[in-house]
Amino acid sequence: MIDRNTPPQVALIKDFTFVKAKTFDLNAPHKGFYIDATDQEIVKVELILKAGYREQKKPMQAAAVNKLLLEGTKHRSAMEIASLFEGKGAFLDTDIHADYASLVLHCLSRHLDELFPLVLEMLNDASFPEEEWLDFKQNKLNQFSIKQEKVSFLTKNAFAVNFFGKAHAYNNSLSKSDFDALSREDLLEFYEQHYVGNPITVLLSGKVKSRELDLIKQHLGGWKKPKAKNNNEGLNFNSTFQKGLELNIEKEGASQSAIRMGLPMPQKGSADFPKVFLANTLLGGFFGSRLMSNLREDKGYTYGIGSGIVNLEMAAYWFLTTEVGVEHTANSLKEIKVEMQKLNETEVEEEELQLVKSYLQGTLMRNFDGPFQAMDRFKSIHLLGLDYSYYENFVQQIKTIEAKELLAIYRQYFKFENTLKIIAGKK
Amino acid sequence: MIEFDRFVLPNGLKVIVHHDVSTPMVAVNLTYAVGARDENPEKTGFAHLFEHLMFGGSKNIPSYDKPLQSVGGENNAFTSNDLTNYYLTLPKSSLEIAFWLESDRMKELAFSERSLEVQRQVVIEEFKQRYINQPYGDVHSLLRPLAYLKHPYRWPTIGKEIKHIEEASMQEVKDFFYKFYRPNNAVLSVAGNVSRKEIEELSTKWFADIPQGKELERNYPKEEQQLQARELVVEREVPLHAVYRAYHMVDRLHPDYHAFDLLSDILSRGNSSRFHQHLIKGKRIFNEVNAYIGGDLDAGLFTLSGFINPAKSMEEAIEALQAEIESVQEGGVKHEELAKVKNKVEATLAFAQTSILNKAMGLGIAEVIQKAELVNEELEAYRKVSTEDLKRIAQEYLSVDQSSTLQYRSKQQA
Repeated sequence: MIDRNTPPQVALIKDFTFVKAKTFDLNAPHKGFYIDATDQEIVKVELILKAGYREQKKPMQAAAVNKLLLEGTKHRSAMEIASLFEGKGAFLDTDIHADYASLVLHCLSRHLDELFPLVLEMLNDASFPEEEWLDFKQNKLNQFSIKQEKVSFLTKNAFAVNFFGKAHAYNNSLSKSDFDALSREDLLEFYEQHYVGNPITVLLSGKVKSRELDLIKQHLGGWKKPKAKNNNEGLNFNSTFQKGLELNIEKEGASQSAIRMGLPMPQKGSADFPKVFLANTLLGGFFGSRLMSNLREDKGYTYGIGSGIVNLEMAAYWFLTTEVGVEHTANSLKEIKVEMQKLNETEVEEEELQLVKSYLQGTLMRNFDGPFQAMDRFKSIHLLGLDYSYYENFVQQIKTIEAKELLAIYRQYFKFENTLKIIAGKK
Repeated sequence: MIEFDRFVLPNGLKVIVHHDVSTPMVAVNLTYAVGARDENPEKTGFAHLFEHLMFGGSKNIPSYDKPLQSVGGENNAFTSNDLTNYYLTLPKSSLEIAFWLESDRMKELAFSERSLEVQRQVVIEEFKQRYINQPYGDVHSLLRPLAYLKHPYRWPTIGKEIKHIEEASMQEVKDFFYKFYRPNNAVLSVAGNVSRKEIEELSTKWFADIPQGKELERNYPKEEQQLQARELVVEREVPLHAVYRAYHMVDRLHPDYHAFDLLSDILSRGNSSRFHQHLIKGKRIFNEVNAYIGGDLDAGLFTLSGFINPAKSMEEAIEALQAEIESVQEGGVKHEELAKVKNKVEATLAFAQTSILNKAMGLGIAEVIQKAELVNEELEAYRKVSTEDLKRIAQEYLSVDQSSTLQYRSKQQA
């Protein structure tokens, strides 16, 4: 008979090596990085520009420009572009972020020579056809009206404006009137300023050999002379965060309420960050967290509750999100408060702390697994001006933090009474 | 090509091993051949509720999650109409923990009343979050019973109604477990830097003493040939009218299965697709419009769906969808349209093979469907589809008489 009561003896995670991105030379000020780590004949190319929504003068401007890159150039219609990429079985996507914007190509390696120059064409010669712009606007408006019926969206959309403030560069909250205020001219202006001739960061992952690197070099070499890099001048990063603000959005007929909460946090590069990250994981960052254990696995108030930390170049914040039965709204808020207070009052037991430490190390290992994931890890440090020493320090701190230090972190950063609370549904 | 080894334990548990040296992680997948189609029509949603209970502790291990998390592992599960799938990844050095956990909950659950009580509530909240408190959330609860009169696909995985979940009893939980959660009704697949020998030893050590269950007879009620179009009109507090039209298609192992998949891609995948060009651009009828198949093991549905632009009517929308189908029935599709969607399939499969979890899951599910070899035959099956096949299946299966249409009308637009 085998002993099923005690776990089999296994070796815990020792140090593991991070798969690191390497640099390759491009004409300055463009920058190139790559990870070669698969036998499949595939490649992912991400082109990143400092064209995030923080640069926009009007709501939705940066997102609209980014999305419409694919909808026509001076040489090709939207249909031609779609046919060229889809004909090769390739995927071309856009991505907009607070600090940057991307074009992302996934394709079989054998199609890279043909497709890469087309991607560059969109960064240089996009034409923003009137018709595509009007369709985009109408579709977004329709989607917006559907999303307005979702309690989770109502809290999400109210978050940035209440957390950062209306004039803050990171406020990306939308209202219906924003759709009329934006014109095609606004798009052209943003494109000229933040795309054409601007520095590009190229991230190449998959099977990446000298053929792929040479190809990228060759095409980016012929790029027009980049303009001076734009900086943060003229951008407003003054947060108007008010401790303890609570906002209720009544939604008639709702059977669940959405709750979203927020708190300012130290930035990723700061000394406290690894500890703050662990503190969040234990509170709400994984299935075994205090919040999941209480609100889902003990009380059954919700299908899920989670919290996380968002790292931006000029700010960082903690958020919590859940949807709970309307009859459990008040009790859910009470239990969130109970959990945060407990962590402010009592040191975490050693067993629980060890579990979270091991879980985090496993997660990091998992998140570095495969070329695309490993490149995402690089991206998340590089774009914040950090390097791999961030991860080395992170692992070191996670391994050594003690319950006493963690208590101090909760007391400094995780106070329920300080949180911004947005509740949509019925309180 | 995904190479693998296969062996079967004396109690009927099938085990698949895939060797991949590129990663320090291992993926372990356990597929049980039981889903919502195996439920009693008066007690629907049970297979999914049961999936939640699988995390409520087993005979010898009070918590499933904690020991896994404490070695850096991560896990989840899902339930479909046909099967229930549990999966996890963890560092190779801790692999045995996965065998210990999975074998104990296959051997005997804790059957905790408390866990049943709480998970019932959690599933009811899941029901609300995904199907009630969402615009258009009840669409599939309406469309399924319209398209299926007899087959258990007529109810969704979450269940027909909340009442069924509220009524689930512990005796039913036990009966379900001993009927379906037996080694001979499951496939274990492991992918990572592991050898067949290592996995054979671990499987034998942890799973061999679990008793085999009775052979299951699966006689799902067969749907009769639909002869007349069906239609349901509902009104809801949503901003846009929406339309859903479902046709009966073939089962997962039918030679035409891949043709349906490619046809749905030609109609709606990407901006060069027919629906995008004709219906979103062109006629400007839809804000969003799709064609898709469900991937069910028994004869499934080929579904068209779309959100209708405020300036257009429900009638125009239905007519336009019908015209697209007729265009395939009469004019077929072009060779380059077919080549394009085949290329997309090739790229998608190549990207999927970079993940050990995808590979373990694909192998396990294929073995439950028929045989793990399917994962390597897939691309060829897609390649073989001809333009004639697409025209033929459209003529044979996509007639209005065999369709079910849900008009989901907006009160705000009316």
